[in-house]
Order: sequence, then structure tokens, then C-alpha cells
Amino acid sequence: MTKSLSKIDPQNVKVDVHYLTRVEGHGNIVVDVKEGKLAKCEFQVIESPRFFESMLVGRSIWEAQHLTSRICGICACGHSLASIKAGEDALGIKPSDEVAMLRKLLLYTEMLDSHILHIYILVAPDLLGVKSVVPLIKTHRPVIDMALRMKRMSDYAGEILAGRHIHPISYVIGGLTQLPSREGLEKLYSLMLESRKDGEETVKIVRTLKFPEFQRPTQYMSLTSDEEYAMYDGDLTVNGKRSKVSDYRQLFMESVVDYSRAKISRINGKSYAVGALSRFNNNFEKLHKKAKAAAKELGLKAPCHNPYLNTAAQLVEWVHCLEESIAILEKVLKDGLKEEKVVVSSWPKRSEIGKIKYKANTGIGCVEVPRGSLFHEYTIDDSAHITAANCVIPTNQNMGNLEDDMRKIVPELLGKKTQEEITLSLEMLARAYDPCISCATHLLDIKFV
Amino acid sequence: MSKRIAVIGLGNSLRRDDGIGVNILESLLNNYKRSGIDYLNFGIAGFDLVHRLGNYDAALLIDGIDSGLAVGELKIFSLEQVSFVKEEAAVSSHELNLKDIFRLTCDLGIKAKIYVAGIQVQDVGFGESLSVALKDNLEEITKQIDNFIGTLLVSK
Repeated sequence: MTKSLSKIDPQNVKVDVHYLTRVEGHGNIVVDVKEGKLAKCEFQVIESPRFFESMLVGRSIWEAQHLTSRICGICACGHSLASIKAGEDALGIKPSDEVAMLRKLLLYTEMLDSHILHIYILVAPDLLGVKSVVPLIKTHRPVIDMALRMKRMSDYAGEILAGRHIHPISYVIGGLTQLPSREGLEKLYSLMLESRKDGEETVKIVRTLKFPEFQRPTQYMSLTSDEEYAMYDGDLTVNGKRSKVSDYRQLFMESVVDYSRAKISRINGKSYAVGALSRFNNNFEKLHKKAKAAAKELGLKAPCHNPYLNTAAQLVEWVHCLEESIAILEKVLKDGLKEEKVVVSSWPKRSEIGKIKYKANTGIGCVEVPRGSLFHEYTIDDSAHITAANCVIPTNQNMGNLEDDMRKIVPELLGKKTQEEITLSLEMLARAYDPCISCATHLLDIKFV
Repeated sequence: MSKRIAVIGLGNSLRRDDGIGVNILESLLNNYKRSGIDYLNFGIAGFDLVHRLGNYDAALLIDGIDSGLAVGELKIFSLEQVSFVKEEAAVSSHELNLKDIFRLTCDLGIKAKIYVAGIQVQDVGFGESLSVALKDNLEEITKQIDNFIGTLLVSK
């Protein structure tokens, strides 16, 4: 796109992307090459979501899900489920297998929703050389219509499964507040069957797109399980070495840097990646056979060390999550859902909250959300009020890895690319991680004309 | 066939006045609910608005605005009447801002007439309570918005 521009002096390069676009929240990319040496290479997060933790302190554990489901508009279900799992861990509650199955279904549908948004709306414009999705409506209308159809399906899933399409309300500690309607589940099943052909078409389209070539092996962390492609439950694994979720604080260390409000996480002193590519690399064998076939068609092999291909791994996961969702819905529609196994009956009444005595305890919940492993940890007192909270979000975990990628790729591009091309490469690299920097305020700043 | 109308509350109720749209939606539902209207809490969802708007003839988005008005002042306008000062002035959803959402709906041929009920906010820091000026005006704002919804029902 900027081929007519002359190449830059590779000894002295400055990149300053102030507010990276097509990501959630505000982050800057700052690179400074002086006399051939990389003097600065930073991804600066300039807003912090961690105030939510202090908002949780003093609240009843029974309220936590309703608060945390509003942390993010994209990963609302994931935050909700991590919160519920932490609450159940602290209270010693074990949900039924039916509830666990419905939670997995909810998590899968959130993956379907977020991944397709990232692939078509946030990444495709880069690969097609346009600024945003808007011009694609004129040039690629059938594809945009298909993307919207796929979004509608997963949007409907949230509405049917969780009570509303965003910020779920019916999934709570112990189970669900109500059964999803059979009519809604049947319609969702039908929409998912129809989505198969859209998924197949998307694989064909993405196969034709050219992702930047770049390689940097790193540490890949995700949940893992002997039973399935882990998203809802399992152990943590880093390149084959397993740990218990309860040991997450020993596994990685968070530290503060002066240029960013996001903490940087490290395992054994080194950066690591979470997200679709990490899950794909760690758990490839557990993918649904159709997802494996999609990976083959896309030319994606585990282990893959190109972070730009996180988007391709997301598409593979989309296929996996669709097939797993269809399988769950077939079981639910065949066997039915038993109210006594799913709907919570043991919640304290509002007037009882704070009066019933519980064991003071700490609970940890971890689930895989679209961008990686999400942790919620709560300490409660004997009235089940939260006295301490810790939320570790995937984007923070990826920041160190992204910066290490930038440190490797910038010298590789110097002398070969224009300033604009280097900037675009770095923007695309950051967007490949699908960063979700904060729960952005969305205030309208407007002028009447 | 009757007109399909959506009233949509936007905002993050964990960021004080930013949640005014959602607060008013709740107030409308509790006190002024009309039949034939879909009242939708969209919270901080953004992109989903694009295809949802396609289901309606008219939509009223209730949201906080920063437009130099008195805190709590309500301004109802159609989108042709405003320009967005910042590119990122937006519903969250990965920086797909409200302006882009409207451009998308137009380019996709979605015919819904879109109005915004904007309420001047004071504080969008972290917290759950509205600022006093907004809290005090909540009932009056709700009433005015419901009156406007009434005009949508009778207009062609």
C-alpha cells in the first residue's frame, strides 16, 4: 500500500501509533531505533481495568457474577463463568454435570461470537488493504452478509442460553436461574446447522489471504485436559508441562512497568502467549476432526510459531466450537434438561445474605476466553463477603510476548520496508493478539451542527 | 403492519454516569413500559447493534453524552443532526465506534430511523452510583424520553 514511498534510513526509525485502532480500549505502539539499535519497543496500555477488583471487595460472593459479567462486552460470559467457578471453589459447591455442560455451551458460543468478529471485522481489513470494514461492504458484500449471519447466530445463542445476548444473567453460582426454552434451543440448533456452510466458506476465504511471515517460538500457556479440547476446565499447561490452576500464582509472575498500566506477566522470567494459537499448539490432538481438517486446509500445523496466525487458529477453534455446540444441543434436545439438575434452589434469600455463616476461604476460577486463560480469585470472610479479589486477564498476559515479538520483527523489517509498512506490520501484530485492553467507557463526544 | 420500534439502553453501569442509558432503560421498563416496543439492554455491546437495528423501523438509543450541556440535560436528536468530535467516541466493541456502526447500517441498507436520547454526564470514573445531578433528574428524564417514544408510535 505504500510501495511508492522510499525506504527509510534503517539506522534511525521512529514508530508512534497513538491509539491503535480496531482493538478494545486504548493502547499505543512506540518503537525507536537509534543508530541501528532498538532503543525503545513498547506496547503502552494507557488505561487499566483493575479497578473492578476493588469494586468487588466488600460485596457478597453471590453478587460477584452480576458485577463481573459487566467487565467486558466481548468476554462477558467468560468473566461470568470464571467468577462463578471462583465463587463455587470458595464455597465448596460442585455443580451438576448438566450445568457444566451448559456452561461449556455458553463458552463455546462466546468463542464463536468473538472469533468471527475478530476475523472479519478487525483483521480482514488489514489483509485486504483497507482501513476498516466499511469499504468492504461495497467490495465484498456477500462476505460481509455471511459474517453478519454468523454473528447473528452466536448473538442469538447468548440470548437463549443466558437470558440476554450480552452480560449474562441466568448463569449463577450452583447452576442456572431458569431453563433455556426448548423452542429457543431448537432454533439455535437449526441456526448452527446452517452455519456449517458459512464456516466452510470462511475457511476457503481465509485460505486465500496472505498473513505476514514471521517466526518466534515462545512459551504457550492454556488449559489442557485428557478428556477434551480444554476451555471450561483442566490443568494449566506450558509447552507440555502441567500445573494445577490453584498454583497459578507460582506459575507466572506479574510485574509493573513504568510506561504501561497493564502488568507484564512472565513464566520463568520469560514472556508467554495465551489465546487461540496457544490452545491450538497445546491441545491440537483434542480438536474435533472437522477443526483438524480446517487446520489442514488452512496450512496450520501445531506447533505454529507465527503469532499473525492466531487469527487462523481462531477460525479452527470456531469450527471446533460449532461442532461441540451442535453435539451438546443434540444431547440436550434428545435427553431434555431436568430442572432439578440445572436450576439453582439453594440460593440464600436477600434478607439472609450476610447472616448465614460460611467457612472463610479462597476460591479460584479459570476458563479459556477468546483471548486466553482468564483467572478470577476471591477471598471471602465467614459471611461470604469478598475481602480480596484478583483478576488476571489474557491481554495483560500477552503484553510481554507481543513486545518480544516486536523486538524480533523490527530489526527484520529494517531496510526492507517503508516506515508505513513497518508501522502497519506492528499494528497487525498487535491486532493479531486481539487485545482487549479495557472495558472502555463509550461516552459519545459530539457536536451539534 | 405496526411499526417495529426498539428502545436500546447503552452504557457501562460500572462506570458511574456512563451507565445512564441502562439506568433509564430500567426506569422505563419499571414505570412506563409500553406494548409493541422492544426494550433492550445492550450494555457495552457495540457491533451487535448493526444487525439488530435491521429488525426495526425505528430505534431510540439512550446514552450518555458529553456535549457541554448542563449535567443531566437531555437532548434527543437524529444522527443527521450531529457530528462526532472524536473518532473513538464509541460503543466499546473493539473500537468499532458508534459512527462506524451508523455508517455500516447505512451502507448495508438498513432502513431503521435512528434517534439518540443523549444525557449530559458528569463523572464516568469507576463506580456504580450516578452523580447526584443525574440521580435527581432520572425520573424527569425518563418521563421525557417516554413522551418521545409515544411520538415514535404515532409517527409514520
